Amino acid sequence: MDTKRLWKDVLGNIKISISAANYQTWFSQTFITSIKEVGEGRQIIEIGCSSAFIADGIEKRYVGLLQDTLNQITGLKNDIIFVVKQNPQIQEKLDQPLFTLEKKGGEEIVTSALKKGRIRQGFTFDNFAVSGTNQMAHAAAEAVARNPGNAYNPLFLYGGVGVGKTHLMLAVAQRVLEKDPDVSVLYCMGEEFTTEIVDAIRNKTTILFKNRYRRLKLLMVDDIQFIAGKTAVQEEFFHTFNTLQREGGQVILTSDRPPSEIERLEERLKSRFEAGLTIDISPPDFELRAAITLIKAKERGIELEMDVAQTIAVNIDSPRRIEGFLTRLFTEAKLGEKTIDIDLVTKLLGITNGEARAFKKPLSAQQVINAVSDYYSLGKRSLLGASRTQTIALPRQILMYILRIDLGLPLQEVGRLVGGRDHTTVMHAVEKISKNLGQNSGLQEDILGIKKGISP
Amino acid sequence: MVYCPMKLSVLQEDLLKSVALASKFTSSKAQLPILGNILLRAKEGKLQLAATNLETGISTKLPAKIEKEGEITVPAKIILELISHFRPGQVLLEEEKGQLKVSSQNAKASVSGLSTKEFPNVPNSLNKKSFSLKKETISVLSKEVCFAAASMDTRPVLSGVYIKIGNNPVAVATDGFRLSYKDLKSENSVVLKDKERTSFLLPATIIQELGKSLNPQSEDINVELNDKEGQIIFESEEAVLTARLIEGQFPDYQKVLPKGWSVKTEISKDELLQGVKAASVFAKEAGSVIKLSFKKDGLSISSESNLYGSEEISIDSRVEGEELTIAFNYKFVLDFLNSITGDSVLIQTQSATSPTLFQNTKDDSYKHIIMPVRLQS
Repeated sequence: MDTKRLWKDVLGNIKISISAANYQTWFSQTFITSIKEVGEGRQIIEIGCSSAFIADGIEKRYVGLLQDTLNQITGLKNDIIFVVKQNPQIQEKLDQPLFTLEKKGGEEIVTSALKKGRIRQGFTFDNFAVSGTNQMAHAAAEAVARNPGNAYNPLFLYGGVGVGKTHLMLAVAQRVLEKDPDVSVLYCMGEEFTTEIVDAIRNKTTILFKNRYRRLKLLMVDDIQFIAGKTAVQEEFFHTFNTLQREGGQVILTSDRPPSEIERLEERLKSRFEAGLTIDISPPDFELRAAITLIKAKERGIELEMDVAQTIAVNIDSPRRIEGFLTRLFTEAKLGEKTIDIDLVTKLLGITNGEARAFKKPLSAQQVINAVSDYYSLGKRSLLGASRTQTIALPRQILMYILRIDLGLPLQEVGRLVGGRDHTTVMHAVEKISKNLGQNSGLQEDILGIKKGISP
Repeated sequence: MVYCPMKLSVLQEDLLKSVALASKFTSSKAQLPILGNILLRAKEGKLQLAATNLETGISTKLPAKIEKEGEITVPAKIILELISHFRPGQVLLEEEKGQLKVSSQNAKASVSGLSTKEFPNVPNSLNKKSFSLKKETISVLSKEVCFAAASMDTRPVLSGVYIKIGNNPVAVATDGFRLSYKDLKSENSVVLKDKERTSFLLPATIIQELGKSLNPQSEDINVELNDKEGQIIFESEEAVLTARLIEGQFPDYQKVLPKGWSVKTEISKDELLQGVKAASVFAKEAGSVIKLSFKKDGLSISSESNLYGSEEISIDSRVEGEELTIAFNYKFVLDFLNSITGDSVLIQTQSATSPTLFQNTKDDSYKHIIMPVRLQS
């Protein structure tokens, strides 16, 4: 018989025979350290006690009782020895601040805190790629993580699938817990929240539910639109939300659309959601997708070549599908013992996407000139001509900028293409556009528009 | 054993001191009443007192004029209070039908006792001496090191004082929030004799009690380590103290000792003590947190309570390094300041979240490290 079970049975018996105070004092910390059979139906049982006083006390008072009980339960003749030993089940953890300085210990605490808050690991700010489409959301999330409850409350992130709403939300939780693992944090899906309320109402445990949610310092609800149309759930969420805000708790919500567009969401909730910061995250652009591809590959321990990443990014537009594709790619490479290169990627993309789009068809200068003249509805002659009117000069400078920066043509060559101009003119144009690009978003849009006209 | 009709007389002063010492080893929240009692045993011309809470135990003797040998146990709390209200001088103790009769010239009392049959065995002498500790070492440890240890129940390993012997003897105690480190090299020959051990853990509470019970005439303390019984026994002239031998791995204190600094200051101990005490007025209402701000012209101590208000005390001192604000539990700072004798203190730290070194400017054998409280930004 398992020693733990045996000892439990013995203690159960002894508990009946002696007073509660005596049992608690003498037996509560005891355990069996070893059992040795010595033949002829005899065995020696070694019993661990937490101090010599206790060992002595039991030996003096209860050894007969103990022996009888053991004999009865095991059906053998038992001899008893006492040793002083700490119960190995009581393990010591050194989780005080002085000793958690070492990274490892600290991480363990954060991990357990994450688990408690139902937060999936691996979503941090570090592995979140940022570009124009999600820059605002990223900055807001960082601000919230720095100063939860005060920066933007609630923070409402919305956008399509796979744009990184949940990632940002979980990154906030991760950062907050890294700072202080004792903060009470909870992540749940809108649907889970709904189910829990329904269960609580059915099992009459709404009080427990309320206590659990209302003392949080950070509540994150994913896909909040699921609570729309459910009166009791919205009511409960409304009160939870109010309590949290009053107590300085941070709320982060995500949805697939802005609060105003969530149908059958109570007005008072809508207005509360809108009172914080509402940010949309658009689907990632090409550069961001490429960055995501690289990050995801790196998480699997593989460094991708830039051109491979770009080929993948140009062909697949959802980060989740990129992840799926990478899984496929790596399995294929491993099983077929192939190296991961453009050929393999295009082959696989061909299978998944019908036909793979080549990453970048080498652009000709002529295509760019055509695109610029199309975009501004300018004749090629005037674009490349001598006129210095602002309406023509700016598009011409943009043209030079694209030729120089994106096509990487030499200054002289650009000058030659744009109506035989001097290379210093080209330099000036490139410099001017680069400088204005940062300040003038109209200019940026123009360039993007032109590029759209070029790319297939 | 039946009740023995014990009869003896002792001096109130002696009895009070011994009962006070013994009562510290009784268990106040014991399930068994007997563990809240003190054993009185008249034997061989002495009155022996014993008490135990099953974790630690004490046995102490005091001179007595014995008329009849015998023994009884009485509740520690009652007998302590009772004796403290008696006048100094001779006290007659007499056992009669389970009652202890206590009488002096002008007072008479009778205390209900319990049979000694149920009373656990408390060692009253050493079986074998493992080594001995100098009484100076005991008093240094109890003053500068023990207070940093954790209380008994929470973390057994941290409730001990770690002592490393050999060429570079040190003593360390920590509760995980602060740490006391004492270089014992200057205390010549800490351990007069030892077995094959290079280090051991002594229970901090026992060392503290030992330290308190010592007087200038005391001799060195003999210690017995009994691995089989899991016991450690200290024998001084005044008492025999028994504790559970602490098992386990003491944390790596070397990692905690700060290696460098980015800011440091030397400051008058008295002014710092005053400042911390003043700041504690509000800190008591705000999680015990005080902030120390290192500025170019000195150190400022501040505390703030949402409910009651705030306070700032500035102390001139020489500050080297960058400006920095760091927060501590004021109790830890006070404990440290109360543990040193010098008149000036050195504080140095690397950042607002690094373990911070406090020490007596004139004594670098004693280092105290406090972990700052993290400030919510």
